[in-house]
Amino acid sequence: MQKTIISERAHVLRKTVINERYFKLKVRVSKSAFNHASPGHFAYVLCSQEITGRKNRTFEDYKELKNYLRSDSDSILQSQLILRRPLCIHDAYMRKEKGKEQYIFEFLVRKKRSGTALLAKLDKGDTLELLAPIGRPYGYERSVKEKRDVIIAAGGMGIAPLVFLCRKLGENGILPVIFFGFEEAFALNQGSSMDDDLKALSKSFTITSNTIIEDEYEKGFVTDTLAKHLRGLAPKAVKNTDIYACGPYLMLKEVAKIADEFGINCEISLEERMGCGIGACMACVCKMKNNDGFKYKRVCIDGPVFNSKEILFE
Amino acid sequence: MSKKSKATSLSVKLKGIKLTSPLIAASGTFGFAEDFERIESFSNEDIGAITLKSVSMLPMAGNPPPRIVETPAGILNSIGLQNPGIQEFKAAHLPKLRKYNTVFIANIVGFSIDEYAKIAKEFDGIKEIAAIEVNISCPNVKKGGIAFGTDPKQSYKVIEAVRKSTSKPVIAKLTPNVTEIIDIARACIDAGTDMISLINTVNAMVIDINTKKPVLFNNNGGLSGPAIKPVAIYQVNRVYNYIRERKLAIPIIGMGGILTFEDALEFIIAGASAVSIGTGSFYDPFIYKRINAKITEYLRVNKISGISGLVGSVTMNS
Ligand SMILES: Cc1cc2nc3c(=O)[nH]c(=O)nc-3n(C[C@H](O)[C@H](O)[C@H](O)COP(=O)(O)OP(=O)(O)OC[C@H]3O[C@@H](n4cnc5c(N)ncnc54)[C@H](O)[C@@H]3O)c2cc1C
Ligand SMILES: Cc1cc2nc3c(=O)[nH]c(=O)nc-3n(C[C@H](O)[C@H](O)[C@H](O)COP(=O)(O)O)c2cc1C
Ligand code: FES
Repeated sequence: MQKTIISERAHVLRKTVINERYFKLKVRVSKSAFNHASPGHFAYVLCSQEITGRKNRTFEDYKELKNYLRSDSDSILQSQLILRRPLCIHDAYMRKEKGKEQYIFEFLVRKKRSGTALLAKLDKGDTLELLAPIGRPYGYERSVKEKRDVIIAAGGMGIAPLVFLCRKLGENGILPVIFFGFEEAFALNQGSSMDDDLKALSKSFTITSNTIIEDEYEKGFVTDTLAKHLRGLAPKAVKNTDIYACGPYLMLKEVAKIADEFGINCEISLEERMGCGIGACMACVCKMKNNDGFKYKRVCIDGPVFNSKEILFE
Repeated sequence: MSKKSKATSLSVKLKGIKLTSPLIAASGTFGFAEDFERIESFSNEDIGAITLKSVSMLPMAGNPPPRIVETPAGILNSIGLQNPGIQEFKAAHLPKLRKYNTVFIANIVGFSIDEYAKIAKEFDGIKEIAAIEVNISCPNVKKGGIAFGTDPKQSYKVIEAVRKSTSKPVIAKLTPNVTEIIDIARACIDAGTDMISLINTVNAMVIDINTKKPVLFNNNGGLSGPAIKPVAIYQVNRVYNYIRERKLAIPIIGMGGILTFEDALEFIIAGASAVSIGTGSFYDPFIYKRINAKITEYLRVNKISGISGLVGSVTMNS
């Protein structure tokens, strides 16, 4: 077994609050975690503040806290959230800081409940325990090798893994066509450079929404704009296209249907509740086609990215 | 079986099986020992023994998702015993076990007495397997779905059948979902089990107040993690007292909610000769290494020469 998942304590360099629901975390990781990371991979992070939060508390380094308890006690661990939370690697890059190489992961997070709310409390100087990178990433390298046209379809938080994907495609001379749909105030422009980043990294960046009406947004579903775009392409161009998608289940089901209609190779990132996050417990399964029936595959290790033809949508 | 290893203060011996640490990976939380090895600097060899996922004669698809939900200080799971079946296990997973210098324990399930006997026989022939743990929490389909492990007579029959099918040490794994665990323990002992492990998960349910539906597709599931630890400690201690009073030599493997070295020691003091860890390894995959180091230090500071000196050392308030 290749040891490609790194367990480490990442340093939070910055938190950017986008609005009351969304924030970004920029963390410094090891070279080895960075080198193994590819678009579509995720990190499995501990949310417990006592461990990962302020004053750099971690498994080995929570002495301060121990002073409040019996000396040598480990019992603080017991009050924590047991499960880690999966977060896509939103972006990953190397930068030079005072002549030294630094390896950066960014996470784009939507506050849901307990775990993500705790993550929202992290700030510069804190640490974040993570296991990363995990899973089967997007097969973008094939698109690069075969000089394909790439379409990216994202719905809501499904944009999270696709920025890293755009970066990698860009580094290899491919500018994708991006379709992004959302129904909830995402405020792309407020305090976030994602909008500009994506514009710079793409051939075209089309935003669709049914609920948020702006002059520059198309009205409707992202799958409508995607289908319209494909209908406008010459058959030869369709043949040379790959689709990479991430978003809510129903959107992905529709994207898979469209890809099938046009005979396009399409890769989709799925979500499921996880236990171990590394393939051992069989908690995170999704239905895949198998002869006439189905079989379960693990989202954490066999995915999260699957070929759309494999997935048995329900 | 037991491989060459230096005896340390952590070493334990369970019915002739030598473990380098009293910490065992719990069935179902460690797959077939391949997965944690994906993590850099993780080593299967830091674990005293690894219990493999439950294996049945035929492949089992398991339950539809969601299969897991987080609860206060724990998790609820309803995996539904998804496993590839014995033939696929032998073809795809068994060869990979040979790489690791640690002890492997098989865990078996069946839906009839006969099936338990058959699957035990299969594992009896596998030299990489040091012992066979019998998961008796499976429903008896022939008897209308009641779990073998909640009925002393059925438990007796399963263990008796497994006992006859193997010369390897047999471990009866008890469910806590019974009124009187001693009745089940006694039945398993009478049927010839070599060891007892407990506890399996606790029956439980979580309901979403918005949809008014259970969160798990399967409606109910098994609770594990720190939430069940006091239940487990109590049950381990009761079974330990039963065994001690009868002067039997039946080691107990205690489990349920171990997250810290203190938890592990609590089980040992309550009467466990070794302990298993499941849910805790989802939180911290390096839990085995961390607890090994801390127990070693505890033994040193308290001038205790080995684990066996602690087993069952609890003194009750009179
Ligand atoms: C591969 C993958 C990548 C993801 N990437 C991102 C990302 O980049 N940014 C982001 O904001 N969110 C992402 N999510 C969703 C994110 O993991 C959940 O929103 C988060 O776990 C919710 O935790 P909570 O404690 O706030 O919510 P709670 O509802 O309290 O969580 C309870 C439990 O359910 C699990 N859970 C809840 N929602 C989901 C979900 N949608 N998918 C899987 N498990 C869930 C939690 O992990 C936790 O174990 C991703 C999910 C997956 C599977
Ligand atoms: C995801 C999951 C899967 C499990 N699968 C099995 C199994 O296949 N067979 C079995 O005997 N026990 C199984 N168990 C029970 C554990 O082996 C253990 O008895 C229980 O989880 C209590 O220990 P813990 O609190 O340390 O997890 C499973 C537990 C979990 C959490
Ligand atoms: S979360 Fe355990 S196998 Fe995927």
